[in-house]
Amino acid sequence: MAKRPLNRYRPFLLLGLFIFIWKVVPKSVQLTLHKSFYEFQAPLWIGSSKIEDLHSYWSTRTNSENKLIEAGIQLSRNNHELRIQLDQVKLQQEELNSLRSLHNLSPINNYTYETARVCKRDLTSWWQEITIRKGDNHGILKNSPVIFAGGVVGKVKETYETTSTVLLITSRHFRMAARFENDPRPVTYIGSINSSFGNPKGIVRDAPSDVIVTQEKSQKLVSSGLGSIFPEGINIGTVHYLEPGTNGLFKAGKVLLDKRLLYLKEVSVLLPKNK
Amino acid sequence: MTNSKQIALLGLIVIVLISHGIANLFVMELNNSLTTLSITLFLPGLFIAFPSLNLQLYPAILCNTITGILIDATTPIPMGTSAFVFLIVQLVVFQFRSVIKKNNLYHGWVIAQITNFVIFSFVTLYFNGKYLFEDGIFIRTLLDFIFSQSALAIIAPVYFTIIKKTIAVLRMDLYANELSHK
Amino acid sequence: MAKEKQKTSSSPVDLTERLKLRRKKLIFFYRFYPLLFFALVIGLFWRQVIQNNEYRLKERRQAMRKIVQPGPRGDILDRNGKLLVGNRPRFSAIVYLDRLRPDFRKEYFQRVRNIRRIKTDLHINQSLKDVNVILGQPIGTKVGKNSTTRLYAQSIRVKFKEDSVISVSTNSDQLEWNTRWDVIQSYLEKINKITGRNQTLAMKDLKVHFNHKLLLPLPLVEDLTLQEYARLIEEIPVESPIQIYTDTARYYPYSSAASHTLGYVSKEKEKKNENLKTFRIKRKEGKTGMEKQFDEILKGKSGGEVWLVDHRGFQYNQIEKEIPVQGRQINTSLDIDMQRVAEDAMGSKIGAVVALKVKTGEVLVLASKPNYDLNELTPFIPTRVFNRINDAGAWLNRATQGLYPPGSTFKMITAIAGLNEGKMLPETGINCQGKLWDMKCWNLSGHGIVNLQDSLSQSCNVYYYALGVNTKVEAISKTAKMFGLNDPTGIEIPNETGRMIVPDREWKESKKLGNWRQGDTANFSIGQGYIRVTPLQMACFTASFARKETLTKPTLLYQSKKEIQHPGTNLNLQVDHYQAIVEGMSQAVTSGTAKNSRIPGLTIAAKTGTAQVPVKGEKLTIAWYVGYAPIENPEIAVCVTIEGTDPNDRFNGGTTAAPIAKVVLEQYKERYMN
Repeated sequence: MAKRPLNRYRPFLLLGLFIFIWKVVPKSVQLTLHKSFYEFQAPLWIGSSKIEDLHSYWSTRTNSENKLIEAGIQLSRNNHELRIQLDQVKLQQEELNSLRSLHNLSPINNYTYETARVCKRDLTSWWQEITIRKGDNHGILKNSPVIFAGGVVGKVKETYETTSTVLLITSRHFRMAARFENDPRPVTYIGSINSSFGNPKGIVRDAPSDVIVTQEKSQKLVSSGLGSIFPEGINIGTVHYLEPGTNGLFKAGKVLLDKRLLYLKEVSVLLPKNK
Repeated sequence: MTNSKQIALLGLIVIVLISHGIANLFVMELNNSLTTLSITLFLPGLFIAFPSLNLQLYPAILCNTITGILIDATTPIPMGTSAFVFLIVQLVVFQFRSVIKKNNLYHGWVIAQITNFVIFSFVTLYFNGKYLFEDGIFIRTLLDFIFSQSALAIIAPVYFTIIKKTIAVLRMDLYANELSHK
Repeated sequence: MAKEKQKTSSSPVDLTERLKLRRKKLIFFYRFYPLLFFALVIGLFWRQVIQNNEYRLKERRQAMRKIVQPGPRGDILDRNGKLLVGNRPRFSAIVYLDRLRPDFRKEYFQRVRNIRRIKTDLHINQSLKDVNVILGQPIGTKVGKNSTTRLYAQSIRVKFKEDSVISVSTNSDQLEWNTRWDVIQSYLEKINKITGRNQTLAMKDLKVHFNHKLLLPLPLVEDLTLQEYARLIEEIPVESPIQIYTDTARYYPYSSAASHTLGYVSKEKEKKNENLKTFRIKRKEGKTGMEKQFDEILKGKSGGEVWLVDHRGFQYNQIEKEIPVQGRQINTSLDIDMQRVAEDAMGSKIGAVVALKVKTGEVLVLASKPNYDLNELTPFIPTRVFNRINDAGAWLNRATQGLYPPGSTFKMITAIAGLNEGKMLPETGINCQGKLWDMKCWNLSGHGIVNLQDSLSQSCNVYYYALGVNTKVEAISKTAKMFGLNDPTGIEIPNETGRMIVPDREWKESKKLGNWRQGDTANFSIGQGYIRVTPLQMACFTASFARKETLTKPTLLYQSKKEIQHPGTNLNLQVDHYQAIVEGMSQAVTSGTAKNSRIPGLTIAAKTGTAQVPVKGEKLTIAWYVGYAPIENPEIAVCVTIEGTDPNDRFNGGTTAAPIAKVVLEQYKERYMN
């Protein structure tokens, strides 16, 4: 009989014990626990992502030979075209570097690229993150810029052994210095949660009042290169309208981002060359 | 408790945790596909109902704590929050275990729904409390909630049945050692 | 007693009487109570209804705070829509103190715990040496009558008597301030780490802000560079208490061009304000130039917020919000390209250039040198910059405030006076032999026989000595006054001088300078002596003369109409007389003293002048040029004035001022006449 009340309160005691332990345990232990539990699950996501890759590999293999030959020819044409463009870019790059060195400016291309497959996409209304299949082992660094063909993806939030989490450009916790394509003055870009069935979007703030943007005359927003993370000129999105901001001093508006951000499969992490 | 009973209990915990892991992976894959529509399924309720209802106090607490920390480790939720919420739900369920029928799938379903609602609301308030009525966040949250609860309504009974069947196939008795506590 | 009690209680008559008696006693209250009640109701009514507004106001004053955010100033554009003055964003890293309250609290309690722990090591009768071993050296000492109190960095106060502890207490006030300072400084350190700065917050500034501007953001680092701003934006978490505050500072795309005309701004002076306790983000108000003159138009409408505050004055609920509105823009009459051309042509010379539209009086160019870079004066003027401008004498707007003798450019006025007085005819010749009486012509060998046209084209002084003396000072002075040389022009920039001098007999006597002499008239007739005018006045005179009118009202505002009505009257001068003067001026350009301003394809009527002023015992030269073009249909009037700064400066109207005028006229021709 005496045991029954104790049994009843046992869950409370255990909860109290949990809270006590959690309060007492040093932060470092909590972080280690966090990291271990994360690393424990990471192989599952990587495996799942690799299965998906395998799936797409086999589905490609089911294509007829003719189709593959056709695709091969197209690819070779594209490669040829790209080769020419690459050579031109290389020449321009050399010219630019020599001009910059004449003016004692540091060379522009200070980054190497690390391409990574996306294995997890967490695009909730609370947080906006993706997990990529490259981490500490591949030299990925915290706060490195992440880009894709459509422009800025975000920045590396956390790195683990074989994976990294990337804070997406659509996250409300993501902020960067940007500028309009033909205007050197910096503005602030902040992520904004994308609505269900809608396109990804962000917010631009602190735009000078003389910047005119209309539905017909939209303007591209690009990275300003003034901060310490993103190089200059990477596409962010398009601004279709600006209205007076809440302080009445500057304009603010919505930035329409690339729709492909919703189903990213591969991204590039920019790593500083000197590191 | 004899050694064989302890091993059986451990086996139960392992089966539940593996099931949770697979289910979690499934939900993750589902979410990976749903990102194109900007919809997210959030189903922590799926993981709490079964151990809370069917396992003994300690195994259930162990299962829920581990599951909670696993969820915390993979989301930006502060470490320990999910584990803490799971334990509270576990505590509440434990208080009403005498009126809840373990074999009744519907009861488990209701608990999963309620738990999911509670955790969903908690996370929403924690992350979006200040901004809930800004820039379409409320609609997005509401739709995510509706989709999550609907998905849970479909998945939960199937999931519980699969775990039970797996336990049965492995010739384990889910309630074998319950008598010793009565 | 018991019996008596029984008796009284048993007699109903007695009871009635007693009740009556009691009623009589109570009757006072029966009557007085309603009165009191009525008074209470009236009082309540008075307080609740009549004084409702007063109490509501008191409540608002006690519980509400207003934050005033000034509207951004309007832009100033030139006549072609080019931005002359705009706004640039000015970024600062700030914290709102109310967002740091949890940090303050946490740190405070942590310190209180520490102090408690330290206090356990301190005890009565402990020696000063031992206390210093535990707490370190004291940061302050207060010597009393019987004891000495020492204050330690841990906010602990220890009282000693003859170097023995007699009491230990906590200095809560110091503890609170230290905690606040440390918390804020820790955030500032984060900023320092990102920006590479090394800034510290002064405790004095923190106290002032906390006590007087609690609801306003506390600036940690002001006027961030663009790189610093971008780094902070990207590296500080969005949810951090550190925020990037953006306001505006004036931006002058053309730096020093038209600096005196455009003017600059500075923070407004403290204002006593209305019913609510108000925290005002100070707006910028115009200090000089157009910024000051048109402050009401440019300043915009302030917005603001009304907040409910708690008992410590921290905000917790926003009640009202009004968005500030930008001020209106002003379209000036200036042509910034012409202005820059004029300023470039002046080079490092000191002086002024004014160009006016003849018909409308619109000012195209209003240049004064030396000038200053307006961007250096915003958001405030550093002492170093102020001193540099001051030493260069650049604060003075020489176009509207510089007073100079007009020299030979005044000869047209003498000529008009002489012609009007009938003292001569245009064709009347005077023999210049290089001097008249003891007064010399600039050409010492003499010009020979000169008529009006020759006298203007060759700028013969002897001709005007004779004419002036004949015409008399009264007529010359009257004519000069008729052209407005004795009054400010009324241009729309503040501080135009009113100290110009058009002398006459009365003026000289009033200044106790003795009687007016013939030599004074001779000097006056060639624009020397006491006369003092501004370059703007001479430009206005030229425009008026070109229009055959007496006055020109110059304006800095763009006029949509092609012609406007100027004050003054038509010039009362015979056509042939007028034509003779114009001819003389024209000849000055084609073959005379102003030939350095000749422009092919453009007919110009001009007059140069070289005046002399005594400065500190030495004579400095002032080079002048006034002119207008084209002669047939005058559009632009120009005045150039260049100051000599050294007696060795060989400044001369024809060689110094005329080339500058030529550049301005060429630019006008290119931009508006082709």
